Amino acid sequence: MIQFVILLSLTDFQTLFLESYVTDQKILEENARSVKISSPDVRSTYAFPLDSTNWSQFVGMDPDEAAKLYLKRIDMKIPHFETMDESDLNYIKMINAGESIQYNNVSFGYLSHRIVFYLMNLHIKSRQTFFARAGTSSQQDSYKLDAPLGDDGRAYAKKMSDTLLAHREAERAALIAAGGNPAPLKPLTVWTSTRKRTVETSDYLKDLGYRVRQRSQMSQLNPGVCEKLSETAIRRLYADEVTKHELDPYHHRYPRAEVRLTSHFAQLSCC
Amino acid sequence: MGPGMDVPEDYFFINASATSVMLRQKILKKCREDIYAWLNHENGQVAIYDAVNPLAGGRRSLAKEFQKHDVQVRRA
Repeated sequence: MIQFVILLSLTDFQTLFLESYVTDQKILEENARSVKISSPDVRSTYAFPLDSTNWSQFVGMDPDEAAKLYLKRIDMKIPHFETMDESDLNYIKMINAGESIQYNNVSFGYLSHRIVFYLMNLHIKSRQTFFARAGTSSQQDSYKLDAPLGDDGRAYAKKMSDTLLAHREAERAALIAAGGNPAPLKPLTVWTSTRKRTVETSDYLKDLGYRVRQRSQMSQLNPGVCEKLSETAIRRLYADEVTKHELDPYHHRYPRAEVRLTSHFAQLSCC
Repeated sequence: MGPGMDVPEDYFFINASATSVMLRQKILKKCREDIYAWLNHENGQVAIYDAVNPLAGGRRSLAKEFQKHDVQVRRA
């Protein structure tokens, strides 16, 4: 069984085929159920004319039944399928969602290699990500000072953590009540930056036994000379810089400030 | 097709009628033209042509079309 996508890329018009080759029936059913059937597209009554399925027919259907119907349709529509084996084409074949990967490199360029790397690190299993602010620090904080949490900050850390844990339990209870899988909760891992206030915000969860990891890429960037200035003040003091920033917001940097060159959210999706 | 119009019932099926097949080809061609415009005129670096291409022959001719298009673009 398959799903199939092509990617065509780059300035030199390289063509790279991607094939997701799935023999594990469980992965197929899980995918059909979670990605297709429970997607917001399905809940709406609008059917995307260019999509491969008339979504509106799944609306209000029992998820298991809908998944079965969906898989049956794939079988009907793609009765003859030849898996990629063309030695003259560039392709990547991902088998059972990452169990193994084959590729045929005729003329891979930089981006094709990056795509291989990305796919090798990809998780397609469902997961949730929660974002939370760090607590406030005790003293007048500055980038250089890297101050620890204050009393308010610690109180916030406890409240935030309790709210998060209660939310997870409530979601699980609701899922079970709706006839879902009574499996235990997926493990929670906390990512913080290396700044004191964020590490200390996670201490409460750490003490409860949750795994906490510090990631330097998540740390606050040095704000440079503009730290603590209001927008009006920045406009007044650094009018030239503001103009430059507005012209090229993704590359400009304020004096002594840091910029981040690549997105680390890629890491979030693959680690 | 225009707004509010739905594709014919047999649009996604193997034994679709000739008019549905033609409509399908027309839409696919439009998708590929969008890709060329994106890569050639809108500074696009990557484009995804998301479709099931189950047969080796179809994939080869697709790769050939993309290749041919590249040559034309470079000469222009």
